[in-house]
Amino acid sequence: MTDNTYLLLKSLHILGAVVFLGNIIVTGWWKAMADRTRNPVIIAFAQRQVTPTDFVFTAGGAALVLATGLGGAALHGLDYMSIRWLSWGYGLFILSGLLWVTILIPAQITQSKRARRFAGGDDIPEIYWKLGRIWIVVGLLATIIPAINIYWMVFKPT
Amino acid sequence: MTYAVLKFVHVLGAILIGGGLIGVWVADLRSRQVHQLPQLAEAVRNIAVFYDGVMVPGALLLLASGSWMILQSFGGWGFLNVPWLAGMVALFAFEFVEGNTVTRLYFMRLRRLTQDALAAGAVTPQLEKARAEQIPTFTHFLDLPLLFVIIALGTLRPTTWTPFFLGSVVAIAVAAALTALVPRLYPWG
Repeated sequence: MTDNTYLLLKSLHILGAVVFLGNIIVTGWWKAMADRTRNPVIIAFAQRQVTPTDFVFTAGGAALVLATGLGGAALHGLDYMSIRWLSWGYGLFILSGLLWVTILIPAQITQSKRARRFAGGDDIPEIYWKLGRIWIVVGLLATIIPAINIYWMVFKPT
Repeated sequence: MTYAVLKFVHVLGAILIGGGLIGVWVADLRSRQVHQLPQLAEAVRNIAVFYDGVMVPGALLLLASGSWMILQSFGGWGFLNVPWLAGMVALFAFEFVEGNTVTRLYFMRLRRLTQDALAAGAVTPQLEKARAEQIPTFTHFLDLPLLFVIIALGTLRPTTWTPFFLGSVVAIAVAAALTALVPRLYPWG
């Protein structure tokens, strides 16, 4: 029973990681490609996708990763503060989440609101580009950090 | 150590293929929801970019690392006696061949037709006809459910063939339901 529960949690954990990290990469790419066109209609169209896909796939995948990770550790009675690969895993995951909640989400919500205004083809305000630069830099960081976690989770160095 | 590196590359490949497929899925859905040509062209261009730029590299990483791990652990065709592994290989091979012969070619054609329509300034009959094609729509909707079955087989590692067949049937049913439902939800043309 414990083995089956662990395998189920592991499957969902990997599925969560695929959905979570995969969506971060794709969303960033999509937004960067649209911004490069400098076409307000295209940018507004792409921007409208960023927040909903983030809530469905990024947040959904992250919740799955966290819940199944905690469940797996609890199932085996692992103390994640004293096991190096687990403590690093949680630490990096929390750091990425903090970047996401405190910088990325507010920036993209403001960008979405602005984008709705220039969706008809009006000029793109400077604030949009400024937030876009912040979003790209912090977004890249928030992608690299959980990607490093794959190393900790696969190699499990002690 | 080699096995851990291969496993690491394998997980990276799974993330890329998963991300690429989600990107293709969302971009395809958006392309069905919009009726203005510039937005349609952008969504279709994204489908092609995610297919070639994210999904295909992920599939190649999975193929290389997976083949190496099988050779290292089973030394040949011995994996055929292991249901979860043989099932994974069969579904991956199917997805790889189907993806490159039906779905990818369809999306490339759709991109070309959309560019033609954009240049002409209106939706062309060829584009409308291509958009209504059922087989590539079905194979596109089959990609993500099949990937979930592949991942589930690799992590749950069942010792019988039942989960493979059950998972495949569920994936086909989901793809068939989406093929019937999505074009009705977002009628095009």
